[in-house]
Amino acid sequence: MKSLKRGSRLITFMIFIFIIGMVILIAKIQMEASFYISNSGSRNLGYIYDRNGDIIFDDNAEIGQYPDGYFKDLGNLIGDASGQMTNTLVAKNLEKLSNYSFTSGITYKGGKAAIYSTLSHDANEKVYSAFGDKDGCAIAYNYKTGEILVCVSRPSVDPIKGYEELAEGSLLCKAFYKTVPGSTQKTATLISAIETMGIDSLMERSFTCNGVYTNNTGLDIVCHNEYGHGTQNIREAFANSCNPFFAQLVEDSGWSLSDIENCYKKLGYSVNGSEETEISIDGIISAKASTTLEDKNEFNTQWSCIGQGTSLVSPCQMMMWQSAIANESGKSTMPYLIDHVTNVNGRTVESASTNYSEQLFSSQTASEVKDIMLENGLNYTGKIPGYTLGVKSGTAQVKNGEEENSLLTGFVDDKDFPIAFAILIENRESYDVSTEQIASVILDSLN
Amino acid sequence: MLDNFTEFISEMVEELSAFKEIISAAGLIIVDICALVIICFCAKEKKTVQKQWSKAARHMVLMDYSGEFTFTLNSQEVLMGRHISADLRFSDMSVSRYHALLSLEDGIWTITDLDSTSGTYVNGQKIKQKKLRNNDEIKIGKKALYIRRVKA
Amino acid sequence: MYKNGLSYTIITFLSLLTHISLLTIVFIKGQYDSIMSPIILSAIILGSDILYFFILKFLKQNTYTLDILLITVLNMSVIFQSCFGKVGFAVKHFIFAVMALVFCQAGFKLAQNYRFIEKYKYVFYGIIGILIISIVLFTGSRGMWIDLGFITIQPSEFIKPFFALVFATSLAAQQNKKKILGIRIVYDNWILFGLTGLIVLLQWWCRDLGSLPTFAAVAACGFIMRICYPKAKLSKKLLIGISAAGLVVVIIALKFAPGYVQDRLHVDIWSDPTGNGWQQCQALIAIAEGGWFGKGPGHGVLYKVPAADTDIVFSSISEEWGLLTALLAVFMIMLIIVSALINTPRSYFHTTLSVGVAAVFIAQMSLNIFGSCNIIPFTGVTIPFISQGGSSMLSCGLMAGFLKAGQAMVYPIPERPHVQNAGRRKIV
Repeated sequence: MKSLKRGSRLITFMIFIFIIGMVILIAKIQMEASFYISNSGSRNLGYIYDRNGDIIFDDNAEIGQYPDGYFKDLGNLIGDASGQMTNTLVAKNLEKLSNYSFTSGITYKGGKAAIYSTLSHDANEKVYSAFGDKDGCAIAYNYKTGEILVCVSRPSVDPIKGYEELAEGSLLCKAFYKTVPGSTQKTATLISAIETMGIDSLMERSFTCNGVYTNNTGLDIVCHNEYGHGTQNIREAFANSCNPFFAQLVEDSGWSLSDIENCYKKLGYSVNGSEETEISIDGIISAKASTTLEDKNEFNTQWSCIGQGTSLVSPCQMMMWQSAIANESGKSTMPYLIDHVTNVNGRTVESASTNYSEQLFSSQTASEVKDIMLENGLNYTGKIPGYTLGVKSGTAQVKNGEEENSLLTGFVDDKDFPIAFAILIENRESYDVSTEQIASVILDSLN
Repeated sequence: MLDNFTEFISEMVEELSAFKEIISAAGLIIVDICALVIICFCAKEKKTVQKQWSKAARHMVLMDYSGEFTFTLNSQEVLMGRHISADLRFSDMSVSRYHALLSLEDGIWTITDLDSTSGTYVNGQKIKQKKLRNNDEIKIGKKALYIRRVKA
Repeated sequence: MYKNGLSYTIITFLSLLTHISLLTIVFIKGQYDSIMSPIILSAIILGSDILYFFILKFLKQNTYTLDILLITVLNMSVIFQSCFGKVGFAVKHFIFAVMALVFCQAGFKLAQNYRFIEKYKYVFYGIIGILIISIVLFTGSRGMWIDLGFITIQPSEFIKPFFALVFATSLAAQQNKKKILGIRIVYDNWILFGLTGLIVLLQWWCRDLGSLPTFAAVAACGFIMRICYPKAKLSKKLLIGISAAGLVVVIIALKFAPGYVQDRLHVDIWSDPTGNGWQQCQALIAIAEGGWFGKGPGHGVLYKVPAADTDIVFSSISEEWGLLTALLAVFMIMLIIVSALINTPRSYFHTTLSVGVAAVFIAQMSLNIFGSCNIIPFTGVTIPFISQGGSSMLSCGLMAGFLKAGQAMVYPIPERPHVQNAGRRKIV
């Protein structure tokens, strides 16, 4: 009777809890099954295609099946499933490639699981060979949508041929690792200056360069032009990439160190060891910029703002800043590599959408900087013919000044061809291939 | 003979292999349905159990003077009182919340007083525990009830 | 025609049909060296089925559904256990299945009459005491098994049914509260409370932490049922209070748990798939590889992993037979418990006993299945009737018997009521 119903109620309660648990279990297995399979010995991975349908990853490829060096241009970006490289598209997206579904199990033949990437294999191959024997990297993307079109890093690796006798740095895609930015850093300083002082106030300022500037603490800031640039305003100094001008700008009483710090932090720098959050591009981790700012009058801080010293930026992030400038929005377009993913039955299960970062700087600043960069870009029309460009070049000294890296970041100001890029050539000598030539190859092959 | 039999089975298996998935799915469905039907049979058994129980409880019911109100004694313990959880509930204030417990032991109904305020009376006699006979009068507070055997 | 006057032809036929369906799958999808192995398996399964149903005819009881369900589940589990790795008859498991049925009958006879239990309740306390002492003396502080040479037994498994049994005794004592120092207490409750504490300490001592939640569940359900006897419905306040108290105990227990338990609680199995989490990783991969319909009986590879037929048996079945079949097996065990809901016991003793048994079954299944699938910490407990293991099979058989006692009980009907006022005249 009533007292006996209590027992039934208690049993029902227990069964109910158990059933809830079972439902959670089934849901969990359904969601995570492909992850479990990617950890199992038996698996079958699908292809990765480029934007034109060329295969750029084939887990079952054999030597001879593809032309020699076919996978080398994107080797360290795409990677393979062997576990040798961990920060690659395949390693981070094994589950999506898995030809598996819980209902039908592993499909060994005719599975349609695939990643359709945004990359252009053709353009990447051209860029890769344009580097000649030089090392470095080049990354370019559509700054309206965020599709990464070119991402080459030399030296590279051909995953089919294995991992023996590789040059140092072969297994890393340098576009996602930090490097000394050189004068390209001046863009960041320029943005900070406009943000803090306003363009009008900044334009009123002019500083003189005699080739060498002795700063407030008595140390010399040397210009690459030993005869000096004379008295310049910000536009001229930016075009000249004049170090003494920027050192004096940093010392200027119109802003404080904390102003610079704040602007840098908004741009995404980790200043003085503050927390470093990484950018994730379809699972691939890209390092965030970092720098040290201690005292406006101090030599190292000034060099950091000019692009030497402790400043480090990844080419990918440089390129993202270009998008914030080129779009005149002050927000970066977030890059991505995966356009869409199909499952084992060929159904599209995931497709990319364009995302933007937080506000890095105001949109007015963006258009002012764009203006200045476009003006600077006019100097490059000879070297990169056919495009309206906004660019900033840079030379970075690495290994205690023994080697010089050449850098170029910029964007094409064309709403039908919205490309932003960042190029790095390591240890470049004057007779080597130039960053402008690479830029020209990138733009021509994409156009 | 045995060889023929195994051969026959092997051939059958080979022929049926084409429908592997269908057969295994069908098998599962059959098992499912069978399990459900088996459990449904429990409900049918319930009637038999009820019959058995009535016999064991000697077809006793509680009824009031007029015989209009009857209460079937359907479990081994029947709690009488004012509390909401009591099986036989009286809203009369003279009845304690947990007044008395009727229990069946070896075919004999026994009443036990649960320290009630007004006490429990059987045939006019105040009791603590008493075995009941047919037609005994039980008085709980102001309520009087009779325990009676009804026709099976 | 069975003894209660109902015809069970259809039901027994359906039970046979479940086994025939499963055996057909073995024939068609299974992996075997010669066709003889599945034929032998089928012959034994179906033959034993028919024999069981024949024997059932001679048993005098009110209901037979639970027995038929139990036979269905047990032979189903024999089929599962026979197929791990390769089709071949699992003799040991079959013998234990037969013994489980015998124990079920024994449990039924034992728990049928509550006055008998009441009379000899100290015997049951004694049995628990002997089992506890045997654990202390023979298994040692890190073991759970007593090795008798030809057989190993796990005494803690046998404590479970008797533990559930003693919670259902001396219910009437709930009304004899004694006043001591102004507090009204019931002696028996304190004895049980002490016993629970003792068993918890013992489990802790021999590191059988899988059984601990099971005993805790039985004790919790038992106390709820006792406190409520027979008055007061299960009030929300009481439930919340008990849940809160339980939570506090669990939190304290976790805080002071030994290092290796802490490790198990926090382990991220995928960060170390070859170390601590190996069994679970393999179990989950096996489920994923099996999918809904499985690789086919005998085609699995999980049997190579230790405890494939006990602690991670759910995954083993999933791999070979598919997740649907594994769920079905769980569903069948649930049905055994559900039968106690449909055909409710008539006495408080049997209700309490049924709740205790249901608590053991559900706790064990939860710990096993959710543990092996990494939802809760992994502890080595068995799924009733499905997992390999003699002690577990026999004690579960005994508990199924208790469950049966609640619904199939034969009520004592006195031949001649000793006092009777014959006739039905009205007393005025």
